[in-house]
Amino acid sequence: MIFELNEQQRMIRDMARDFATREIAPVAAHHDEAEEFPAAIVKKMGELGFMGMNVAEEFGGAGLDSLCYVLAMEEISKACASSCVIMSVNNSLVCWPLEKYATDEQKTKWLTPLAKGEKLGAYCLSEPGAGTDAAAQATTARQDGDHWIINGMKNFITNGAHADTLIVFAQTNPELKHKGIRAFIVENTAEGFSVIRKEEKMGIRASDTAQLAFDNVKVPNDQVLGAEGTGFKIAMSTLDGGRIGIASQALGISAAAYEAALAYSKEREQFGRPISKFQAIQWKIADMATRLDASRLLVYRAAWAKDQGGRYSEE
Amino acid sequence: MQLNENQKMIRQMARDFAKSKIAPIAAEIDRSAEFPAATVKEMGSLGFLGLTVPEEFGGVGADVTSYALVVEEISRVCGSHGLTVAAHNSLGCWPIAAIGTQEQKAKFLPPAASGESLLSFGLTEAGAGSDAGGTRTTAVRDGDHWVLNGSKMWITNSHYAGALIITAKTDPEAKGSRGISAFIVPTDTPGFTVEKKENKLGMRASDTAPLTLEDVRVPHEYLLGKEGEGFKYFMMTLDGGRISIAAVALGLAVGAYDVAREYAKEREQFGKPIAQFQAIEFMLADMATQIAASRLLTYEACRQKDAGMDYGQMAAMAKLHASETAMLVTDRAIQILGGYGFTTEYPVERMYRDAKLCTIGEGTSEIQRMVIGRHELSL
Amino acid sequence: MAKLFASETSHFITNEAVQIFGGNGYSKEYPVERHFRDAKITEIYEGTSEAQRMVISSLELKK
Repeated sequence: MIFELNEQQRMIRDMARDFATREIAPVAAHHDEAEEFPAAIVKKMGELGFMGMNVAEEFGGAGLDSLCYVLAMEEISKACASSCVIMSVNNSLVCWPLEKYATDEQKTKWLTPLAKGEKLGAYCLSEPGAGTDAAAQATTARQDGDHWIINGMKNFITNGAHADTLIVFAQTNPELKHKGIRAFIVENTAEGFSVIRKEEKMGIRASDTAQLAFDNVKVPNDQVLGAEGTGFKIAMSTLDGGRIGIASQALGISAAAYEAALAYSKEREQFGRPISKFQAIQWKIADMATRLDASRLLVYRAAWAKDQGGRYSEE
Repeated sequence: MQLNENQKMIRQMARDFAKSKIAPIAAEIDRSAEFPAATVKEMGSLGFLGLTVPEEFGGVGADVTSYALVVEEISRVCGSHGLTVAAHNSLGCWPIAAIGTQEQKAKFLPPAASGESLLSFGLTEAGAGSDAGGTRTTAVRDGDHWVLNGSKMWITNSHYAGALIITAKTDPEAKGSRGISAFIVPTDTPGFTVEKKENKLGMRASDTAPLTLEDVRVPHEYLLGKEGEGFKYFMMTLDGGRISIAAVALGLAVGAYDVAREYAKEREQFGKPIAQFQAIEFMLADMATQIAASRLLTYEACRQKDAGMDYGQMAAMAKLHASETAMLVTDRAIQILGGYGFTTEYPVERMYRDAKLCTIGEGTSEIQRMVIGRHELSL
Repeated sequence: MAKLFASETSHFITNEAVQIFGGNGYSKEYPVERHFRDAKITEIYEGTSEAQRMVISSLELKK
């Protein structure tokens, strides 16, 4: 493992930091309070190449490694965790499985606009009865000639109300249990697709979390992602990468809170001296700094392991 | 720990009122950050706003344990209501009842106990948080009046208070916590302004606002207790305030625990209720154990106060443990509810935000540790 | 491991940051209030901390 950042990684980090500081941080509190989707920021992130960072350049991506992605996410998250999760879902949960499992025709048609940030993606796995137990899919898909018909409900879908392209998991044969699950590429314009409601949440309020309904949604056969029996594997392998995204988001939140607390502890005076002079605060700073560094190392290691190409589920 | 009949009756009354009148509006007033004036007034008619005020001044004359039980039951469904009642009783009514003259009690306690108007305490300033000795507000004697100037912040119930107890420096020469006096200041006194209320993480329906005092003239009769003893009175008041926050925290923890336990029994994943997974079962066990410890510490602090003992350390222990427990339990409750716990559809995310106040208000956890440590080391 | 540790750390750090800010940390005037609210979801979505522990322990136990 090498943690000395290379030239490119440093450049990406600095670019993300500069963008986040100048354009995201000043409006983050407003988007949070108003529960407003940061459309202008998402558009700019697309222009900067942040919406398809690891996607090959031939499919509209930036062709960068996972560590670049993690570094950019950390910087975006420091300014606004909502903007970060919008980016994370598009990169990790939508672009990644498309690049990995889609045919070249599918990639050209679906992946390219997502990687360029011209379109936004969502990943639809969770259901009211299928949370941690993701294999318990109640959404069904049955083939009918040249298309599939999807019926069911998905919930807690990040980007659900704003996404153009959705990756939807559904059960094609309940007897096969998780081996009967398949993945589909669904457009938000498909008839029978609707956004039922948006969740009102404690945090990441500028990112939308939606409940979605699929009522006899017709999906052409060429929008099936991956081979028969592979849907659950696609779902799980995608989540491995998604976790690196969320870990980077958490890392960014930690870094922002830590830096703010560190600065405040040196400014704020009580009992005639800065509170940073008290051991109780010094101990807090020490514990925070240690865990922040450990988080950062674990997240970077996971990104590094992913780039090595082996299994990285545990990391 | 056995409650007597009277305590059980008061607790039941509070539980019924909380369930029927407060629970249905708790989510909405959190969202809108609207002070629940109607239900607070109704609590006045039930006696909840003068629980420990003597009957001759319109109160219930109940013991501290009964008071804590009421705060706990109310906080179980709504932290904002709990905090409002707690600040009013322990920071507003108590010091006047304990330190005030007959005239002060007769004037200020009956309208407070009936719920006509609230009371509270104004100590904190921009530069005087945990360090109350840093008070900059001044009071200068002018004949039979005192003239107050300065500003306060984080003052609970301000917009709905008939009067506030305000600490001010009366001896500019005195250093630190010396030379501070306490005054009962009617909120309609010219020069007294309650500023715009704070936009907060939690306890959003409780009223928290900064105050500005500009040449506020109060008669000498409104000096509370002796001149120069204000800091001592404040510390006494704060000991009781810590029992209040412990009771609020206990209520929040119990409320979140109830929701989490029921959810864990109903929610099925991998073909069985999640309560049957050891990870969840152990979480519930830890939550229940910490709650039991909080309850015992809180009730013990009440008992010591009722018995006239020096209960300062026990109050700090109860406050520290109950508030940290409220954070732990409300956090675990969100975790057990998963994505649902993060939404406003369930009350646990609100309780989590409300609980955070308890580790800060009326002395942060760090201050409680200082208080406890100094008692242990006899400093 | 990264997700489990980083998310639980963000919970720990944002909580401590609010604590260091005291009353100011409880106000929307300072960003740590938002960081505190945002952190919690990282322990829930894309697999709760409990799900991460399931993944980690099952891989460890295969060794």
